[in-house]
Amino acid sequence: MSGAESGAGARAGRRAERVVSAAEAVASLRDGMVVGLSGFSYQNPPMALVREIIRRRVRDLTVVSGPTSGIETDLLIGAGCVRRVVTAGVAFERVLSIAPAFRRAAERGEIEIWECDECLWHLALKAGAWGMPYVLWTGGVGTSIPELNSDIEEVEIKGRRYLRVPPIRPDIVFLHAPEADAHGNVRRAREAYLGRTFAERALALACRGPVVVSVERLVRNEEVVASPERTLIRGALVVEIPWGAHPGGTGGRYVPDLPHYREYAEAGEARRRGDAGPYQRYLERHVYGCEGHEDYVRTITVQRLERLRMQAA
Amino acid sequence: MATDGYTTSELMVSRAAKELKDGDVVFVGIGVPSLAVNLAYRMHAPGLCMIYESGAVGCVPKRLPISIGDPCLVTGSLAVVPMMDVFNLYLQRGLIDVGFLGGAQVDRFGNINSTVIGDYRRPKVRLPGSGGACEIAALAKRVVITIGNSKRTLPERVDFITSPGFLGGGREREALGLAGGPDLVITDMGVFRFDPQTREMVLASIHPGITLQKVKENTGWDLRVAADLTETTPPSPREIRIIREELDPQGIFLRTKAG
Repeated sequence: MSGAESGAGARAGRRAERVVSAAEAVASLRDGMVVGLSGFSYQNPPMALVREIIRRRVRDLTVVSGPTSGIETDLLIGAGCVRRVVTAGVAFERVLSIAPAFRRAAERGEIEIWECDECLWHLALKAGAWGMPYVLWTGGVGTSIPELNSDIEEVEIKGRRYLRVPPIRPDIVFLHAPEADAHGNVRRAREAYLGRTFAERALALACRGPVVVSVERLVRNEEVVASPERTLIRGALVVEIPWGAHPGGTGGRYVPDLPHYREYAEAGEARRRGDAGPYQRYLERHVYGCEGHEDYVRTITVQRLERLRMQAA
Repeated sequence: MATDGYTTSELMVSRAAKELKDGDVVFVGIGVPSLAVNLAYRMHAPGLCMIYESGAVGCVPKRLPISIGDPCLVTGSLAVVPMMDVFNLYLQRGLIDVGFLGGAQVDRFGNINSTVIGDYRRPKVRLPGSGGACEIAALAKRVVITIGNSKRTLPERVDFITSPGFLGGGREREALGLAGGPDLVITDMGVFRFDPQTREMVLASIHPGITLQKVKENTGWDLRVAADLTETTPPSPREIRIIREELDPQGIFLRTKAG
C-alpha cells in the first residue's frame, strides 16, 4: 500500500457510514422533545425534514429555531406539532412581518414562547454546549424579558446589572446544508461569500442527542479532506435531499422562493381570520399528500426549482 | 402621501440619512434603515462602515438586500464574522456608533415594543419578536428610531419593553449601567429628540404640510414641543433621484411613488 492510499482514503474506509433515509432521520423523534432547527429567516431551513416530521404527527415539541426563524417553525406550529418555541422571532420579512401560524397560535394561547432576542438565544445554546449552569449578559437588562421568563434572572455584580441566561440543550437537531460526506462531515459551500451559515454550529454543539443534516449532495470523503476548513459539523447523520430547504434558500445553491412564501402567507392569514380551507389545502398538497420529498418536488416542479438556482453574485 | 414631488417615506429616509456622519460604524436593518444608510453612503458619508446582523461587516451592497441573510451583503464586504461576534464583540465593546430601529410601538421615553400589543397572556396582536433589536437599543452609542405617528404607535407607555429606551425617564437607564440610548425618533409627521434631564420625547421639527395640532392629536401623551421648533428639510432632488433610481428602483421598500 502506498503512502497516499494509507492516508485519507484508508481512514475513511474504516469509519462508519452515517447516511440515513428521511424516514430514518426522524424516526427517533418523540412527542414532547426539544428540537433544534436551522433556518435564519429565509436561509437554510430543513424543510424536507420538517415535512417528514409533520407526516409523523408528533405533538408537543419545543422548537429551538432561528435565532430569528421562519417557515420551518411556522409550518410545524400550523400543523399542530408544537407546544413551545424558543426563538427571537418568527417572520417572513417583506412577505409578511408576523408569521401567520405563530401569530394565530400565540394570540389564542395555544403555544408558549420563551421570550428572547437573538443574542440571548445564542447564549443559551452556548451555555448548553459549554456545560455551564448559566452565562451572564449585559443586554436585555431593563426589558420585560426577565418578568416573563422565570428562568432568566436579573442579577447585580460589582454594581453592574446582568441577565443570567440558562442553558438550552436540544434532544435532537435538524439542519440543512449544502454538502456532507458519508461519514457525517458537514460542510459549507465552496464560495464562502455565497455559502453563509448562521446558527447551525451553535445548535449542533448544544445538542444532547443526534444531529441530523439534510444536504443538497453527498460528496466523497477525499473532497472533505482536501479542504478541511470548510467542515462545519462532524458526526452528523446525513440524508441527501436536493432542494431540501425549499421554499427557503440554501447558502451557495439557490435563493428563497418568495412567491411560494406569499402563497403560504396568504393561506395562513386566511386561517387566522377564520377560513381554515386554504391552509388545510396547502398542508394536503405539499405535506400530507406527499409520501416523501420526491412527491413534494412534483408539487413544485423541477422547472420552477431550477429557476431559483443561485448565480455567482 | 406625496408632497411637492416626494413621498413621506422618502422624506423619512432622507432625514434619517442626515443623522449619519462620515466614518460612523452603523448597525443596519433591512428596509428603511438600509435605504437611509445607503443614501448617506452615496451622498455625504463614503467612509461609513455598514454592519448587518448576519455578520457581514463593511458592506457595500450593489442592490438593496431583500433579507437579513441576503448574500448580496457579503459580496464586496470587508469581513464575514459569526453572528454572535456582532453582539458580543462589536456591540458589547462599544464599537457601534449608530443603530437604526423600528417597532410597533415607541413610548414617551423611547422604549420600543415589538413583542405583543395588549395583555401578554392573551395579546390583541402577537408581534414577530425582538430579533436583534434589544441588543442594539442597549449597547449602540446612539439609536435612531423610525415609526408611524399615531396614538396606537406612540402610546404613553408601551405594553411590553422589548428594547430599552430611557425606561421610566430621568436617570433610570444610566442606573442600570446602560450607556447610549435613543437619540432621535423620525415619524411620518415630525422628528423628536429627548430632553436631556427628563428623557422625554420632545417634538423638534415638523414635516412640511403637517400642523402641530395634527401631531399632538396623533401622539399618546401630552406632547412637549421644543422652543425652537423647525420645519423638517425635505429631500433634495438628488436624494430623491438616488432613492428612486439607484436604491429602490422597483419600489420594493417604498411602494408609493410620488405622481
